[in-house]
Amino acid sequence: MAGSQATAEPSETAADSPEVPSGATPEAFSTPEALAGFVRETTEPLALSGGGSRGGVGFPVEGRAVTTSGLQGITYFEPQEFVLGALAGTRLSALEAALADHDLILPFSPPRFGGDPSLGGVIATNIGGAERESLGAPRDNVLGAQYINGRGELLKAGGRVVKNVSGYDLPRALCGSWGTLAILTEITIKVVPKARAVAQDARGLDAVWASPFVWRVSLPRDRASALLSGWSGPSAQQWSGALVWLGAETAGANDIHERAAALGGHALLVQSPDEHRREHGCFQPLSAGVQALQRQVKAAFDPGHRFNPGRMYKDL
Amino acid sequence: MLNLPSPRAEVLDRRQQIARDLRALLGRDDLLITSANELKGYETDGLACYRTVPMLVVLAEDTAQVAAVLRYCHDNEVPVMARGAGTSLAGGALPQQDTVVLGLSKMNEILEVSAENQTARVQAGVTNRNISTAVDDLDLFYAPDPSSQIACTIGGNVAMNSGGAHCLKYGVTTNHILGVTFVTMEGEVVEIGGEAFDLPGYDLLGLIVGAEGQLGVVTEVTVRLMPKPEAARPLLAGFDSALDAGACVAAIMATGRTPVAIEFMDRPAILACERFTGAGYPTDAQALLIIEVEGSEAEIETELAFVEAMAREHGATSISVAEDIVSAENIWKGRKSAFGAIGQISPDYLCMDGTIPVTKLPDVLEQIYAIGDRYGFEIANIFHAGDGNMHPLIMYDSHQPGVLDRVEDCGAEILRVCVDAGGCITGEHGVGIEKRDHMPLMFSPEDLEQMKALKRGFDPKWLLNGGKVFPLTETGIPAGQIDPTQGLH
Repeated sequence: MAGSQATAEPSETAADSPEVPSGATPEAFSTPEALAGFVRETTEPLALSGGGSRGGVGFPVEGRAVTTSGLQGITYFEPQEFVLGALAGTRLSALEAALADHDLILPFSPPRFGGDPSLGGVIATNIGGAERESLGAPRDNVLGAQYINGRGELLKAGGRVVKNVSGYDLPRALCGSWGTLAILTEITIKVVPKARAVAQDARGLDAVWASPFVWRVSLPRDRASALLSGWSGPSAQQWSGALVWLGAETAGANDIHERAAALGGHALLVQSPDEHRREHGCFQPLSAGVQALQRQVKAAFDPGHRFNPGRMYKDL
Repeated sequence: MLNLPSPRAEVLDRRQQIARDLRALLGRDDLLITSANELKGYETDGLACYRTVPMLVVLAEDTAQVAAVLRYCHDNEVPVMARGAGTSLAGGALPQQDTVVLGLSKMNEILEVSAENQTARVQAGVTNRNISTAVDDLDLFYAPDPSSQIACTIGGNVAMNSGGAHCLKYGVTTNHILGVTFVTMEGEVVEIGGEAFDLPGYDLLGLIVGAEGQLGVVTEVTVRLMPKPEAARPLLAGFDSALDAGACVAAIMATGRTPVAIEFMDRPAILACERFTGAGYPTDAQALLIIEVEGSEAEIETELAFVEAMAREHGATSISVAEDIVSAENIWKGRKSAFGAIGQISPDYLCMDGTIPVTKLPDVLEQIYAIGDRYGFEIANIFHAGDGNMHPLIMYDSHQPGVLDRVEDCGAEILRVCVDAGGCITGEHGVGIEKRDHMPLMFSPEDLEQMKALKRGFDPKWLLNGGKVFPLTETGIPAGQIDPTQGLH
């Protein structure tokens, strides 16, 4: 598979997920119904995780640790339709193995962050790989989802076909919400023939990941050189320059969030020491207008602010 | 007939005052339409069997005016609806009698094109086709191509998450929108996304695209452009049976060698289109596939040979390849004017839009014909077969008393078949008013309640394009049957 193996990775393992308070084993559930019941029967904030590989991104969450890791298994697979559904905790390695039997691949090959991410985690974080230009981001390949909202209701949205505009596009709205809106329990995605695999250009990424601070910057491709001018640390580019990775030794005087925004882009701090992210977070600061809209979306899905409170932004 | 929201008498009573206020707000007279004759031009859309004349129409020229009108409507509890070109086939642009229509067709400027970043910034009223035309000399194009692309606007495409024939390869609207200027019901102007891929924070674009203009009004859009392929060529394959053609589509798709488009027409559609455009379709065939491949000359040759072999294997009785650009354009002209062509042979038709898994095509086609026979309606099938997006056109004559009820029942049965086959009730046209009451086929009351919670968050007074998407019984909007021949003006 021309997949993610080629992408450079940090050396930490999934077990190091800083999201889980030391000593606490996250509670796991073997069915979506059981997890929904737990959400209904409890009242405290929940620190949600999947495979744990992305636990080092965002503000640390104070809450009862819950994982979707117990929700395992492929629930629907029609190779001739190029559609696959799986419970959210199913690991990418398991999906890739099932797809390989039919010469199919996932249309996204996210960085592994040193672990074996769950499908739910990949969709909830929407960090894709080199194929963004041709196959889209994870969000572009989601067809449907079953999820639990903040009231503990087990709901579904979307479906199993590629073209579907029946109601609001909620599965896509949940992509990239980092578990702050809903708990994804089952996801249906598009898969593609192996022939459409995109080479994962990893040049320079090893050195980037070896740095204590790793920034992932999405920006108009003609501004990549402006971002990189004067940058002395390790860097790498993907998406014809529309994605730039920067490795830094310190949080530094260069605020990458500011620089990215000034260039019409946005940045995510995907690796940083715990003490830094506890103080500063990792996500791109947003305009007051966008913040207000986000709060409305949060209130609609999770009115009690129980899911990963404050992980992305303090007010969500 | 569908129930439509009953106009609020309390709003209608204020009509003169609202007109005065809006005129003052806009600072001029020529942007407000008040005369009964002119308002009639906004009474319907592509779902022409439903008509209601709106209360007033504002033709906005910029984002500030849109914001001012929305803020006014919010503060004064006046229903409002944005409208592009009014081509919705689902009644997405059908006003209520107490509605201020916010027309965006004057906002039709292409603001900025970046060849380097392959993006364009355009106003919401720019037509879909004009984006591609404007960037043609850069060898770029805007990929989603609804059949109404000459008329339909990008703002409408964003609202409905429109598709089109070439979406089989390129994806639909939501895959091509990078940023929007979004005006909230309270009149706040918010920039969402931009020129870069994806966006920070929540995927608000994913939520707004396809929300049918119920969450806010989009006034500017940054679209992603794609490099034009070196060349493209369609092939026509005629079949003796619609089922053979359906099986051929399923077989081609199963190989994973996705052509850029696979369009299906059955005999009634072939005859109508051929008579209408003279595109050179085989009039003796029971079903026709238009299969387009693209790439370099060598790639085209290889893929055409593959497609031709697959077609022959599935019993194609005729095969012809477009020899030049003119014949290729004719082939597409025939397909894209198909709805107009059906309009020539039948006084009225209702276009369905269900999507099914491609492997179910032959089965579902058979069931659709059986349903049509049972109701006594002829059904023409014209659809995007490669992604299973069906468009059965139920032909009828609206002069027959009570016929619309039977047509809608027939359509509902077809949608049920689509859902039972693992598909959905609408692939690209949207729910609008037309499929509002069929949403429970796919979603539980709780599923719908989650969508409504979002709507309430963005529009607490439920003023913006209400009466769409959700069954009226679910929204508590008072409703009744409205005689389309009797407007209030």
